[in-house]
Amino acid sequence: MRGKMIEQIAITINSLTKTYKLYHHHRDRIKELLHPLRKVYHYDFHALSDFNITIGKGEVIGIIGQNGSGKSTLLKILASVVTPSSGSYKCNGRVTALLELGGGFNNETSGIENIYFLGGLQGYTKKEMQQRLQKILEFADIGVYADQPVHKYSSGMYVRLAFSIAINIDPDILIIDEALSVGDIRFQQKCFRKIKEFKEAGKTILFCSHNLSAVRDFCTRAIWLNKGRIVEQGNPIFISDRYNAFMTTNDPVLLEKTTPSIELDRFPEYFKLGEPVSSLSISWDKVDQHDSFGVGGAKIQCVSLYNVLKQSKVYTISGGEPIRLFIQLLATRKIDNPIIAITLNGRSGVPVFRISNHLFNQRLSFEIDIPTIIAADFTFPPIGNGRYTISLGILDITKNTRSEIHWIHDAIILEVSNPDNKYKMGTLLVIEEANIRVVSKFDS
Amino acid sequence: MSPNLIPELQKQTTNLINENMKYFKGLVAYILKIVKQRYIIRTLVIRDFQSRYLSSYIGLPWAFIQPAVYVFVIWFAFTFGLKAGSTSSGLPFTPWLLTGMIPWLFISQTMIVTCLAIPEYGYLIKKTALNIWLIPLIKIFSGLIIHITMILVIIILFVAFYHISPNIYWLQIFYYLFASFILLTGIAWLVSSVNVLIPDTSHIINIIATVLFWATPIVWPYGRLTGSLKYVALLNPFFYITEGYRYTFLEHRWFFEFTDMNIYFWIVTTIIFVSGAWIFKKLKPEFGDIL
Repeated sequence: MRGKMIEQIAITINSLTKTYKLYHHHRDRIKELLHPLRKVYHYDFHALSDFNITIGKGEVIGIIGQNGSGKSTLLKILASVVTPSSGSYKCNGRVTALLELGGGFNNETSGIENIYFLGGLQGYTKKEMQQRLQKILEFADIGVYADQPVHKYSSGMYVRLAFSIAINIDPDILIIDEALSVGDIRFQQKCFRKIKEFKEAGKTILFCSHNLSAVRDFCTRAIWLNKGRIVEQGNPIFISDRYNAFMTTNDPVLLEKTTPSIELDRFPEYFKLGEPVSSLSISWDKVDQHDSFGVGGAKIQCVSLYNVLKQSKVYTISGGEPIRLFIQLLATRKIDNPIIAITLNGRSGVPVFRISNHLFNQRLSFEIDIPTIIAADFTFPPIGNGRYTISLGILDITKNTRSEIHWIHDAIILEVSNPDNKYKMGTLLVIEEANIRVVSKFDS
Repeated sequence: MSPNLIPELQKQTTNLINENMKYFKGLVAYILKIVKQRYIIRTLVIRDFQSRYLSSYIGLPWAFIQPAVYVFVIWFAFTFGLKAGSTSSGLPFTPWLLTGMIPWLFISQTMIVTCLAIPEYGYLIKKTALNIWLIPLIKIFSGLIIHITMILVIIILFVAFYHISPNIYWLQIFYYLFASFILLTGIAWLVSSVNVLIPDTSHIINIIATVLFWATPIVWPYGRLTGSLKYVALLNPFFYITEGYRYTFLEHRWFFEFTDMNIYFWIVTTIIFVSGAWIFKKLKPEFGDIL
């Protein structure tokens, strides 16, 4: 029984710590080494602090976190590219890693030679690699470029080849560091299908990604890192929601206080339209940390996004559901017929839609010096999976000039995540119903 | 004798043996790794060789043109400029100069290029689990290809023009190749790892190579040194190798005829090898961070 338990463990990590010594000058490193009184010239950067985890065989782990949270360091250590400062780790089985852009290609030699070489690094002979060559080239789909030196490759081809090598040399543990985001959607889908296959074959996969939909779709567990420590781990849907909440408020303490668990977050009293609402019962996200500008006169203080049907606060949307956005603002002067503008931004900042009360001929008036709560009800359109942000603005149109009283960029970060394939096509808009059929038949 | 002494002594001896066994096992594991990763080493050596020579128009001949011109200029300066083209033992000067120069060029060139070996392979160190210990070896092996070719060239020259015929002493070349390989491995570990931390190392090594070349008896006979100046030769452990090549090809003497030289060389080489390995091991974790 015990033996079996051990067999089931793929990776164990014990109090793993990585501290980078940072120096102001390259010279300081040697000064410190030679200093007779052992003067310290460096300051420490803790990339990972006292990291503990056990990963079972067949688990697919998604590691999420902001830039600099220690994701890459962790994966590099497991790929034995970086030596930890202290602590230990053990990987059972063959580990292949796909770190950042491609792994260990020699730019001067051809793709095929690189395949043989990287296979050799994993302990495969040329003959064993010959048997795999066809499969690797087929999956990488780089065509005639296989014989060309790697420096002629586009970044997409580079990653395709690297990924294809990594998966075709029978790893037990596959480590992928944010590499797949370079490939086009078709290749990404192909990779995810392959990852699924791996998952079913009982192999262990670790990948770090900013693509939360992928984490939700494929991972059995998500680990959220911040400043080199685990903030939370567990169900990928739950963890990515918490992470999105954190990205919106940028305040983990606030998150602890105001975000109740998804299931329990019910406030039925809000959803009776037209009733006054006490601001205390809404689970607010503060927005004062975000990029904002404006001439002043009113300020958006906090926001909150609710799913009307579920009657719960959400950061993840499947598309097509009724949404209510709460905005709490504080006006310090009277604004005549103000505008509340809500903009949804897609990838690379493309505006997806914008709504405002003026567009629907709705008139608002704010209280002065006491908070005003505004609710905006709309149906979230069916749009492709991905990350979106909502920018909010209070505008003033008087005497035919428009001025921003307060505008917040990316006040809310949300994820559209729908398991339906229609949402995964990488398109902005999703068509829910279509009928495609044969209407004519020609005899041959 | 106290009764505790013997078990104590035994314990110390076993400790010592265990300790030494650990290093011995490490060395054996290292050699096994070389054998196991021979494909990787071979590929890297060929690539190194190609990038050094084959990327130019003339290509491979450069590997020989440069040292040949170098040897010729030295020969010219000594024979016509300094009128010093003679050896104390009455051997013809040209073969004498060649047999010393060829191992020296191998050793000094390898020493200089290994300085920069680690950053050169940064793309592998940072992305794959390559055994970093092997990297300095690649430079040695790729230098060895040229070196062995040169040995064959001088053998042909000797047989064709100097009527020096092959003999049993020539087999010693394998011993001297082994000795220079061990010495160079130690040096390569040392300079390649220190150079990552202190980029000035490569300049220092260049100067050391120049000083050793002119200040120790490589292109001039050892016999010119008299009295306490004789010890200058000892500064250069490579003197053992260059002199050894002369015993092998010209002077018809066995390496074991010179006990003190052997002891001195192997002590120095062991110290360099062990300290090179120790320093490399200490600095290895830093490579990934610095590169």
